[in-house]
Amino acid sequence: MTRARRRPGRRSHVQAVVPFVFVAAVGMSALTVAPAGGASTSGVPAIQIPLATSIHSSAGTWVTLPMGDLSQPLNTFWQLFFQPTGTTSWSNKVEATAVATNGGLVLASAANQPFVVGVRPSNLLHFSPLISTDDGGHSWSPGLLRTGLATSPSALSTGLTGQTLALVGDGLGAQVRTSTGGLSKWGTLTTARQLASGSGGKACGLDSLTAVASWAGRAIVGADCSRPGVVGIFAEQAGSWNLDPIALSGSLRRDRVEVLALEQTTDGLIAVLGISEKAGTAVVAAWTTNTTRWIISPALTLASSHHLVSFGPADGSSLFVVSASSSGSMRLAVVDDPGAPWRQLPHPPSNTATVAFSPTSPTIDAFAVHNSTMTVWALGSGSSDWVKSQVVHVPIEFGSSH
Amino acid sequence: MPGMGTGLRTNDPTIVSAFHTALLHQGLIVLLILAVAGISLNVLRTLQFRRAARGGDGNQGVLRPDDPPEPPARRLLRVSFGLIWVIDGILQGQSSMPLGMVPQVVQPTTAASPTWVQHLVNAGATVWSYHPVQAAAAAVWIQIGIGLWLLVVPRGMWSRAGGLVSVGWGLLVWVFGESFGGIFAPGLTWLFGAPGAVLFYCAAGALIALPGRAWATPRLGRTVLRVLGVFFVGMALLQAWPGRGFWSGQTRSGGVGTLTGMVQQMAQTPQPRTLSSWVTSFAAFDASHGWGVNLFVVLALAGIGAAFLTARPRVVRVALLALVVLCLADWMLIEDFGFLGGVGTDPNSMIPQALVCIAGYLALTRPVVVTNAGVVPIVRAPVGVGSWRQRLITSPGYAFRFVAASAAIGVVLVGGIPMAVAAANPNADPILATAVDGTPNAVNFPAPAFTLVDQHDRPVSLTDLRGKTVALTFLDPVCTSDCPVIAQEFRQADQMLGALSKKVEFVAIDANPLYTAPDYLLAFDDQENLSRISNWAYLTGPLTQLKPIWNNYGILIGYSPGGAMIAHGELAYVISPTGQMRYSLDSDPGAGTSATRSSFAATLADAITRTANGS
Repeated sequence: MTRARRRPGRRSHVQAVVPFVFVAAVGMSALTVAPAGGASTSGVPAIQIPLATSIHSSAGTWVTLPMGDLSQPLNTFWQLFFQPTGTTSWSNKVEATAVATNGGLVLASAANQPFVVGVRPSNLLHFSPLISTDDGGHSWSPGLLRTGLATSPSALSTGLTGQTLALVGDGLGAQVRTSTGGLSKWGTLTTARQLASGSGGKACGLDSLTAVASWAGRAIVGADCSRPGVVGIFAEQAGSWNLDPIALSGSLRRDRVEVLALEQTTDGLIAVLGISEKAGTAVVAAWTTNTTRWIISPALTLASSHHLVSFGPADGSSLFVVSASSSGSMRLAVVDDPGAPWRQLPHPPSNTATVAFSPTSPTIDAFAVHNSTMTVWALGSGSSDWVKSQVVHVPIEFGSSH
Repeated sequence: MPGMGTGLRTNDPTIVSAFHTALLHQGLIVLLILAVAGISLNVLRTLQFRRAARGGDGNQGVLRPDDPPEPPARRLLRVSFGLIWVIDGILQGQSSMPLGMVPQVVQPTTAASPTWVQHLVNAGATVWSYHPVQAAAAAVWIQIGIGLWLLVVPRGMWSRAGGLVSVGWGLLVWVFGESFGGIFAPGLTWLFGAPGAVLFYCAAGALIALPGRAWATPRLGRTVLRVLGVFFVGMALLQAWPGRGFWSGQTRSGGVGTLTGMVQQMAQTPQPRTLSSWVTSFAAFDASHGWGVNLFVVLALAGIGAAFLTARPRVVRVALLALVVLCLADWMLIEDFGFLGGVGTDPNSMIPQALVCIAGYLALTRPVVVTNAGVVPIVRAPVGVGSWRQRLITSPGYAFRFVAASAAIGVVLVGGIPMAVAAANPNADPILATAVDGTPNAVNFPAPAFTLVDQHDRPVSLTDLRGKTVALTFLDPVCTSDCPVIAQEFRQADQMLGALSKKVEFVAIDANPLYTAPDYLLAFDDQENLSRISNWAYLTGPLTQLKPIWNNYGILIGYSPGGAMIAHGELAYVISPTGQMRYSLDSDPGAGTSATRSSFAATLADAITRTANGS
């Protein structure tokens, strides 16, 4: 056997290049680490606006909440429960929507006006069917929004004059549409870009629109402002849009404020403000009777482990807020009057999706959801215990939206 | 991700049956090729002996001396990788390969890779998903063909060509089947086969393709070992890199470390229970001794790499022994052998890389061969003279290599040609639609009449459409899943028809009892980009008009509880220009992937074409 002699001073190009290639590949691979998800670039996570809520109409109280497998969007089906005025039993009316409700439902009502349900787009459906009833859900009329409703419990609003407003699209592509004849003909009232380019929008640093209200014959639009301490509530007046001056107090001026909802009450309008703080989320209620003067509640600060589950009108001019911790414990807080402090009610049962205040009695119903079973728990006046009052099994058709 | 998979179950009987049939038919062709090769070889041998007996070759009745034996390193690579290719080809014959390859093998690796890798791999995955039977059968025969090629053609130009083909196919598999071996995905580690098993096939193929003179000195072995040395040092560095989760078996938050997580996932793969228990035990061991395990791996890889870099036979021999032990342990405890469960398509990376390392050592220590005539460098061996035709009848070795290589190429082409033809068709194989919905039913009776209004509120009746072939279906304008998919299938079928499209009307009838106004149909058309299609009509009317039409066409419609969409039958009909019902098709899109969508469109277009042509 012979062996070739090694030639001194000669090195193959492959031998020279390979180490560099490997070092580069190793370095690149080492740096290819999955990014950690979660916080936004500012370090303060955006507030997730919950859609679950309750609302009163002239015929009774309506509740919308998600059921099914909540970990899978296409197996999460939003329901529409109704309790006629003067009764204590809830029934499911969601079948009337005649469409898959995976994207969520948005409710709107006003005294002596039809109750309106908007179906948010989901999966391959990109627009929003609407239905309305003025007889407590016995008969329904369809309507249509050619663009999908925004993800907000205040994306639809019906005023006492019959004008209905809808918030469609998202970000700076959002638009405020106004009904021009029934619920199928709509015109554009304003857009996020128009508002952002105005003086009020510039002062607020408008990022997106979050809520609409047709109130006292005027259109009110809520927004998410990037400028700290600025509350983005725009009111229409003689064709122009003005940023309503709402002064927050103390440390809240340093934080970003998002209008989570605009709730109509018997006495006026409540703006639900979400304030993103590094320590968690604070909720502030702002009341007005004329949009020129707002009364601010103290802040309801949620612990960092808590998140918003639901909010909505309670009774009279009050507002409720339901929150939950990551461990599942629930909180229910109510603010009764303009400027009054928040009042903690007995902890609602676990898995409470929302609550409904009876307009005719001092009873509060909490709706706890587990998969396809919804349990109603009632809290009587002065009581500290929730009592199971009704169990509803909903035949969820899992997989039907795939 | 578009193109990724078909959404069908991997053991779908229609696809599995078609796959087996394709393998059987192609197997018969392969047998025919082998028979022809055998006969050809026999004929050539006869000619050679007759010529030799006549002394016509100038060698006084003696056949020409053949080429000398090949170097041991090359023989090791050729035989072992030939066998591995054959095994891989056989593994590709598993029933679940046509539908399981993309979602179970390609998709998991690609999912963690950068977007550009996903786009590139998706292009290949789409071809597979659209033609799963042809693709899976092609993979079987191409790999068996390459394996046979390497096994039976030991030297010369044809053998080197086999090496090159092995490199070419290996690179295709590495890019599209292994997503570049996952080198662009997070969590890259030698323990789990980085940088991809097939890259070692390519390395082996490239070495086999080298000219004979490359094997005559230890230089090739030295180069191979040093490249491998750098590779192992690089892998050690990668393994030691902080922040990648390999230094701990458990995280502070109670989760598991990267390696433990990977091994636990591997233990979930369907496999023999004993093997699963070994893998699970190792996962538990790593969970409690993660730091120690990683330190051992880092030191072992770095030590082996450093030893290879010296290219000193004694040092390399020890390192090689350590590497083989390490590879076998990893193959058993971490890679779970790779092929005993799930849809394994190869025995993973450990065996191939160990073989390449051994070949490097042999090339270093045994660079030349000893023949009966003494020490003969391979490059100087006589390789025959004259044209290839003359050599066929003068050299038995050349004749065998020529015939064997031709037969192997034939086997490769048995899979490759149908796949190439299928890949040239941008539409998915109609067998996918058959798997989802069955075959179209040929019928012949007058289509029930209807008069409704279209999306523009203009009256339309079936009688108005006489003279045109009508493709009819029932769609819910606010449906969130199937109806938009069916509408796109109709749109695609329209495009497939080409010039015939002018003689066809695509018609849908509203299948929602609440949303019956033309506004909803227009919104649906806008959503699905159907507004500009001139031969598209979406019809509706009052419920009193719609209900009898639904009944006449066998479409059951009802409200669904619990927030589900309106339930309605998913059928499509093809009506002849004379108003005769010719075909009824189940139009349920199933999982509604782009593959099944395209497949149904092709089936519908075929039924329309047959009806329009009167067949």
